[in-house]
Amino acid sequence: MDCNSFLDSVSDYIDGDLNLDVAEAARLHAAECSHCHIVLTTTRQTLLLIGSPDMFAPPEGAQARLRQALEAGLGEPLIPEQLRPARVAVQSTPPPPRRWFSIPFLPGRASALSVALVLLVLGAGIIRWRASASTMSGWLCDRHCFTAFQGKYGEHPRDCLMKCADTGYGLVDAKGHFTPLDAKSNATVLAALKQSRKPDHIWVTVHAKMTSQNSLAVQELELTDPTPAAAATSR
Amino acid sequence: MPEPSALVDDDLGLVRRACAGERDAFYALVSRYERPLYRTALAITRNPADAEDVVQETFLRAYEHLAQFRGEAKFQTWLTQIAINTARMKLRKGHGALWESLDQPRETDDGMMPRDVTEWRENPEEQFTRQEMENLLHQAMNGLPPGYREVLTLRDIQMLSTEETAEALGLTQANVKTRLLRARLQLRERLAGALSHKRGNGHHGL
Repeated sequence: MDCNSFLDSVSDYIDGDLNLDVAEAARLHAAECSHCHIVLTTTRQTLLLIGSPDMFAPPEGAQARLRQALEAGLGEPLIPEQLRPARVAVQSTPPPPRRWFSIPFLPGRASALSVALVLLVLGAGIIRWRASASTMSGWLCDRHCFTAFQGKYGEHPRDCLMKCADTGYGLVDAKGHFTPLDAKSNATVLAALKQSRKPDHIWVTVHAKMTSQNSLAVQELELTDPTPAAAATSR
Repeated sequence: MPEPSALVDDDLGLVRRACAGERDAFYALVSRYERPLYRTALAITRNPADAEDVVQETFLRAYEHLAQFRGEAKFQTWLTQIAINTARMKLRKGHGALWESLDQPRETDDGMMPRDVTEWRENPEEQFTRQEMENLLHQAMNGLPPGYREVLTLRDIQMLSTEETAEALGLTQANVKTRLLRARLQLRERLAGALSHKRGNGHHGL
């Protein structure tokens, strides 16, 4: 290695980002060339200096001023939409009303009436659904695996899934939102998993209520294969 | 299964609690990141008062958009992105342009080739007071082109990874590495005058 290539790779060398051969060549060069050796050591000193926690600290009083500004500016706490039950229940549209749309043969007045009826039933359905539990589907995992298996929840193996109970299960819906389950539901899920032999691609459909702590209280639960829609979001 | 960094998970937990209305959870995030964000803001604005404003605005904006944080990136990267945008906006609005133009002529050469190559004092921090050292570093950093300074700050002061730095600045990783190399060597050069052993040249690097 010559001085120019050493200079080109000195930054990666310091970070340990070179592959072994190149790193060894760089080390040998620095051992022989006093010029490059000094560049290396003084660059390291530079990084130690600017990386020191004492440097570039906020001025005195900044901490207090920041809190004052936040106290004045934050306003009311936000309950983001994604945490509201209505949005979490992605796949919760009640299926029965669909049948009403398959009556296209009725004459004018009757169809107007059926439309009115549909609306009534739908409306009632939505009100009831908001007030009580809803059905939703998704992948199961804990918070760690929510990040670790992003985009590939299907590959999340059963063994790992069983251990997720310790940290607490959540449901990852089709939009990729994570909603935790409450403690009792956590136990229900674990019990269901123990009975299942499925190694992976474990998809769950639950009938659940949103608790005041924004977690799901599961009433019924079924482990199935993922739906085609789920397969699209996460294999 | 507790696999990836516990800190990341902790941040997510705090974000979630803050979203649900727990102010304390948000303040815990503020305490955790106010210093690194200040350093980032300072690297861009080069002015402590502006940097302080940027940090305040960053947290206010972060709170407002907290629900949009999906946990795909690290929370620190997400916050840093907001801080960078806020700081750049401030620079455009304020007197930043003047400062840039004053510095420009000194920045045109790419400064890769080390010129001042003498060993430095063993413990330079003992030769200067903390304040003197900070001024020295501040001055040397301010002489770097803004694009280099930002990369250097995220990588070597905030200690973000190459990948996170690339994400926060909207650069490729290769680009981050190139800028980092030049930034480090230029900064070294700028500090060399003040920190090198001027007495004799006795030491050889083996």
